[in-house]
Amino acid sequence: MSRADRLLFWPRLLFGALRAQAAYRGAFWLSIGAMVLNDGVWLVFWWLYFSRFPVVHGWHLTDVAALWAIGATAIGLTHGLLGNLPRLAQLIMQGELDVYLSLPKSALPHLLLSRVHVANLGDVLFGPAVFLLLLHPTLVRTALFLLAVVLAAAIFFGFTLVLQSLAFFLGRADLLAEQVSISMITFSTYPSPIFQGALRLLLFTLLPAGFIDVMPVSVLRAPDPSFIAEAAGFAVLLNLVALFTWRTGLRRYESGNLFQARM
Amino acid sequence: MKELRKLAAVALAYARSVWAYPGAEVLRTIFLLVILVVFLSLWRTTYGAMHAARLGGLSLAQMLEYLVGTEAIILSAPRFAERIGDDVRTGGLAVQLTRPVSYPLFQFAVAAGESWPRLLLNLAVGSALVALVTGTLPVSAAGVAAYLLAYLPAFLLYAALFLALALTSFWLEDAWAITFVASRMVMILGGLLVPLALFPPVLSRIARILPLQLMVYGPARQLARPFAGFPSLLLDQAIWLLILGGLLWLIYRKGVQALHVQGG
Repeated sequence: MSRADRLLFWPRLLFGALRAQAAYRGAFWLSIGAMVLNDGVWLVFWWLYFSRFPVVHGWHLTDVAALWAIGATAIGLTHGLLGNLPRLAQLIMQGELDVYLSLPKSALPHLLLSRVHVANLGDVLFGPAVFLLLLHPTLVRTALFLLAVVLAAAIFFGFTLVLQSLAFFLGRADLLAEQVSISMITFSTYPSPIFQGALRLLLFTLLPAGFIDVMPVSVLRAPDPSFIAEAAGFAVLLNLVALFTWRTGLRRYESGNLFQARM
Repeated sequence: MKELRKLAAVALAYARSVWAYPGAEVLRTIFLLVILVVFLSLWRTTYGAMHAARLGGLSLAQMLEYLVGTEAIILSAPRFAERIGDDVRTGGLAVQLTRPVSYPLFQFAVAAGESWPRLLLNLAVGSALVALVTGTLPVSAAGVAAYLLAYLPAFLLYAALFLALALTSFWLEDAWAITFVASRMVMILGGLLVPLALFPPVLSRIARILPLQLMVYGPARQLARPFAGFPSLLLDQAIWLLILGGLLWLIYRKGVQALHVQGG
C-alpha cells in the first residue's frame, strides 16, 4: 500500500459507507428530509415562543437559530458521518468488535467510519442552511461559525465516546448511554441563560452541553477569546479522557464468538 | 363480547411484557425528567422576565403540570410504523392476518397494553418532579380523573390516525417517513410544547380546527382546569373518532386487497 493509499484509506472508507446507504435512494433522501423537517419543527417552536416573548435574558430568535445551526451541524458530523459512534455500547455488548480488531488498521477510526447514520445527514444539511439563510453570513462570521461547529463537534464526540465506552465496564450500558446522550443533545439546544445554579454547574462539567449553549453569543455574536480558549481546552481534555477510557476498556473486551465478515 | 375478551387478553399480555423489564422502563423516564427540567428552566425564566403570575391562564406550576400531561401522552404513544413495516417486509403479516382477531383491533390492543402503563408511570414521575421543584402539588384528584377520562378517546384518536398512516406500509413497505411527519405536526399543532392559548391567533384557529389538539392539548389542559369544556371536548373527540375510524377501516380494506393482488 502506497503512502497516498494509506492517507486516502479513511476518506474512501467513509465514502464507501455513504455509497452503501445511498444505494437505497428513496429511503436515503426520505430519512434526510425527515430530519430536516424535525429540526425545522423546533425552529417553528422557537418562532412561536419568541413571537409571544420576544427576548429571554438577552437572547433573540436569531441566537436560538444560531444554536440550532451549530448544534445540528455538530451532531450531524459526529452521529451521522461517524454512524457507529452512538452504537458503540451495543457493538461492545454484542461482541461485534472482533471483526475490527482482527484487521491491520486502527480499530476505533475503522469502526467509526464504517457506517453512516443517514437521518443525521439531514442535520449536516440543516445547520449550514440555517446559517446561510437566516444568520447573515460574512467571511468572518462564516469562520466563527466553522470554529463553533468544530468545538461543538469535538465536545459531542468526546462525551459520546466516554459514554459508549462505559459498556466495557458496565456490560448492558446501551439504554443508559442512549438516554444520557439524548439528554446531552436536548440540553444543548436551549439558550444558556435559562439554566441556573447547580444545573448550570452540571452543564459545564459532567453533561457539558453548557459549552455549546453559550456558543451563539460567545463565539458568533460577540466572540470572547477567553471562552473560546476554555471551550477548546475542555474539548481537548474530554477527548483525552475519552481515548483513555476507550483504550482501557478495550483491554477488558471479551469476544462474543460472533462470526462476521466485512466485504 | 368474546372479541373484547380476546383483545383484553392481548393488551394484558403486552402490558406484562412491558413490565417484565422494570429497570428499562424506569430508565426511559430519564428523558421525561430531562425535558421537564429544561421546560421548568425555560418557563421559570419566562414567567420571571414577563413579571407574570399567569400566562395563557396558567400559573407556572400549572404550566409544568400541563407539560407533564402532554409529554406523558407522547412518550407513551404507540409506534405502529416500525411493527407493521416489519410485518410487511418479513412477510410475518401473512401469519398475523390469520389470527382469530381483526388485525387493526389486535394492533389497538397491543398499543393499549404498551402505552397505558407507560402513561401512568410518566404521569406519576413527572408530577412528582413538578411537586418537588415547585413545592406544591398543582394537580387535583379531579384533574387526574378528567385527564384520564379524556385520555381514553385521545388515545383511540391517536391510534386510529397513526395506525391508518402505518397501514400505508401495505403499499409503501415503509411508512416511517409519513408517520414521522405526522408526529412532528402533533408536536406543534397538538400543543405538545406550547399550549394553544399562547399560539398566535391565526395558528391557534388552524390548530383548533384539526383533530391533533384533541389528542394532546385536550386531555392535558384538564390537569390544570378539571372538566372545563369537558362535554364539548368529548363530543369533538367522538366526531373525529368516527372520521378517523372510517378512514382507518377504508385504508385497511384497500390495503388487504392490494396484498392479495400481490399474492402476499
